[in-house]
Amino acid sequence: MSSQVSSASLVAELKSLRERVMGISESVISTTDGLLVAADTATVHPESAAALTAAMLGLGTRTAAEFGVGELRDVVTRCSGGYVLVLAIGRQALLMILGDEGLDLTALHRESPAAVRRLADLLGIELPPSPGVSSRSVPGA
Amino acid sequence: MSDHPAPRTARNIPALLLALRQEEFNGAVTVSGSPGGTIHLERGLVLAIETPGTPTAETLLLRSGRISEAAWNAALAATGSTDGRLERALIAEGALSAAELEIICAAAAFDGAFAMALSTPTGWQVTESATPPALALRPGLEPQQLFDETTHRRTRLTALWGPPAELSRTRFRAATRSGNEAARIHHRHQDLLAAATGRNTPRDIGFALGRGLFAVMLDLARLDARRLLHADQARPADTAPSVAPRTPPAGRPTATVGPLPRRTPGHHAPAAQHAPHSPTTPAEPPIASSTEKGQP
Amino acid sequence: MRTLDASLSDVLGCPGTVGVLLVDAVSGLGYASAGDTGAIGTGGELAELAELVAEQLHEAGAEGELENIVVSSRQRHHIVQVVPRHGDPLLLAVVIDREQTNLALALRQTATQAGKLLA
Repeated sequence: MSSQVSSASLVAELKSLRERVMGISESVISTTDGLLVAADTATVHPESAAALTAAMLGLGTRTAAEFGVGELRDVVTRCSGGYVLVLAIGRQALLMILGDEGLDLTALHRESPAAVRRLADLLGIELPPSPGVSSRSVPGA
Repeated sequence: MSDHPAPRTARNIPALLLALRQEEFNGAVTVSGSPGGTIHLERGLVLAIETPGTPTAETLLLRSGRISEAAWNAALAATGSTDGRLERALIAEGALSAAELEIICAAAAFDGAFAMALSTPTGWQVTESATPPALALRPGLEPQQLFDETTHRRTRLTALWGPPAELSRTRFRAATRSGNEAARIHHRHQDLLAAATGRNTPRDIGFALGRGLFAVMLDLARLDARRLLHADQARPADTAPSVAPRTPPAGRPTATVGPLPRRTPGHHAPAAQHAPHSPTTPAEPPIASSTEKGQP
Repeated sequence: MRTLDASLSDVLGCPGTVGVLLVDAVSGLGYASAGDTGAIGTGGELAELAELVAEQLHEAGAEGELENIVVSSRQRHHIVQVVPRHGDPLLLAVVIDREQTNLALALRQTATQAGKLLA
């Protein structure tokens, strides 16, 4: 089934991101209402992660709206044992990244916009145009 | 910011650090690279090095279980009464001794230098006012000591295994072994073998176990020589696997994934949830999972 | 001066002690030294030696961990004492002048010093 093959390329993209950014341990792509799309995991239960990720983003979005600070870009949760990040892939999907304490945030900021664009392409999601040329382009908010 | 004529002409980080030692510089050098890092200096001596490439002293202490989160937080809270020196607060509350703290801070700094030396930096910045490190070795280390030890480590690993940079990118998996064999392996090595899932790099294992990068790499190299590990193919640093959609064997053009999974009205849960971790059954929307059941 | 340097100075003060070196048992990293350590060898060499001996002991079925290694020449005893701690152990390497003390005393002394090192 051709979509199986393309799904493999989603996972390949997740693995590639993990290789380019030190400290990423696992990642999950889900829809905004919590369904699993693809996962590169080892210890995390992908379906649960997908559901939880959507909930986090939902809360983040409502918070941003409540405080009138514009569109949500990402949610970063910093814990004593590591990081949980949720990035929007357009308005239809989400990328959750789990990292350890040594997560290279600089590298993540550098690599994630292009990774989100590639994932959006693979998923057939249209991203809003990014605002001009900047070193920190908005990952599909 | 004051003028630094000598550092501006420095052609690499070692030269920079030697120049900053000459001027007894106070501040930090922020290095960009893969990984980058921050070198904290006081009178040009290295207090600490923070980099994603190896655990900091803080991570070593917490992840190894040497001190508890509670003890750490208590020391942080008490730092106000110890001139902002977390080290003194930790010692004062009896969490660990001054000697142990020195060892851990020194080890972390040497590992930081070693980790950063595995790749070429893309640039650096010298700043006088920088956020101080959480834990510092005082007095700091002579930069030359760091260079010498780093060189020594690279030589040792090369002799034992091969190029250190390649070793640092290798993902090892424990080989299966008999119960007899297992009993004769030192518990430190057993922990390492349990942590090597085939998915993680030496650096990742270091973070998981609360051990420094070099010691982990050394142990892995030895275990590899004893054939207790299998190495996955290390990928070259600057290439990433192709993410172009793969062409099916028949040569048909590949579709994108297509419609995302959708919740069907009238169903309380998507069918996917009945089948944890398994590939899709025909009735379900396309799902791909790569889940490796190694031990964390 | 750091705490470790002061601690090793204390060890150097013990009768018959010519030189002292404190290194990491796995990485061989030298943490502190005092006196004449020329005869001891590098931290890396000590770590390799300890690793080798420990492995051989294990293979031979010895129970428990390596405690120390003693190498004696005509004039000196070299004692490599394992200092356990949470995490990778340390090695406290001591060079003893045979004319000033005997091995039994030196061993007991070294073990005591090792116990105090991280306290």
